[in-house]
Amino acid sequence: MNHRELQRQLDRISASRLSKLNEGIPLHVALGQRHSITLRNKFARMGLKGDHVQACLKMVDEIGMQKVLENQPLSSRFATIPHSKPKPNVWNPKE
Amino acid sequence: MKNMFPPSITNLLLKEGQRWEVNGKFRTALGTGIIPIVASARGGKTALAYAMIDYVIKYTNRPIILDSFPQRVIDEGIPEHWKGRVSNQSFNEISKIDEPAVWLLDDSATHFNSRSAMTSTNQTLAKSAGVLSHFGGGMTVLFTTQSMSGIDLSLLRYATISPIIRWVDEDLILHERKEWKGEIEYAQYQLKKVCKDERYRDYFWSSKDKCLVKSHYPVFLQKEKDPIKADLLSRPMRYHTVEEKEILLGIVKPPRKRTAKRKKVVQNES
Repeated sequence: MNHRELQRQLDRISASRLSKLNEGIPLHVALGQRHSITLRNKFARMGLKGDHVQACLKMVDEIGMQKVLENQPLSSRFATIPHSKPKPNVWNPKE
Repeated sequence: MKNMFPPSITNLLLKEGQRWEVNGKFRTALGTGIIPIVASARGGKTALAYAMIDYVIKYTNRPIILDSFPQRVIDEGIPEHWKGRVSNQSFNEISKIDEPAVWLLDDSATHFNSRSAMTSTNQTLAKSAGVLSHFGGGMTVLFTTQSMSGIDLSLLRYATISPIIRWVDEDLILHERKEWKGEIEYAQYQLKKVCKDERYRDYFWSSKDKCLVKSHYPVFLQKEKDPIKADLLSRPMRYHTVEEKEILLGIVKPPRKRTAKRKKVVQNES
């Protein structure tokens, strides 16, 4: 099985699993660390809301994600960067 | 439009030495090789092969040979501008052709599959694959098939090939040759991105050029124009006689040529 074939098979498995979890779980749960969840609970209990709270959560989420990605190969880390979808290569004759 | 097909296909469709322009640069056509078209039933294999033949008729002076086509299709089915350029000889007669012909072997699965590897036609095809460039000054073979796993491997080993992949039923991909399975799956993935038709007939995948190509459905195949002619060309094998169909499928053996028996020479020793 070549790399591309294996990758597609893994993608299919992931997609089928995600579909069973109401189209996936939140990013901070999937890729973050447990502190993201604890902090959300704490803020909710204290009734804190607002931009500064969101900024704090974002920072904790990002630190958690980076920790997860730290041990991943460069290709996996690169794949997480937002990028535009490549256009299909369609033969376009110019005559 | 001379560039309607991508370079690797045009390279085989034009006559050897003919020149055409690709992105501002001129190329010289090889004019000999094999173009396998893979798709499931009703996936547009034959329609695409006809579009290629139409291209050959328009831009070259190469003769077209429709292998084992029923005479009725040649007489009543082909469009007017094809007349005089098209004949229906058997591939076994390749040695008699001394022109750079383009052959269409439609639904190769019945004639040239690996189960009939040792039949005379299949042996001819396998042996001729290596010398297609010699015969008639360079010949091109277009063949349509529903699966590469049914095709005798020799055909794909000795000549320049430019495979075309269209819609293949996902349950059939499981049984493809391992060398082609990945490519066929990848083609389906690419076709799915752009096609609006349920059987992906609006584009095809050129494996050698690694690109999708917009399909041009020939006008003469449109059922609205002439449903009888369209059907004659769309499923030519339907118009064989029952006996011919039985021979094609191997149910009945073709009649053997009668050979004159040698008479024993009685020598009078006395």
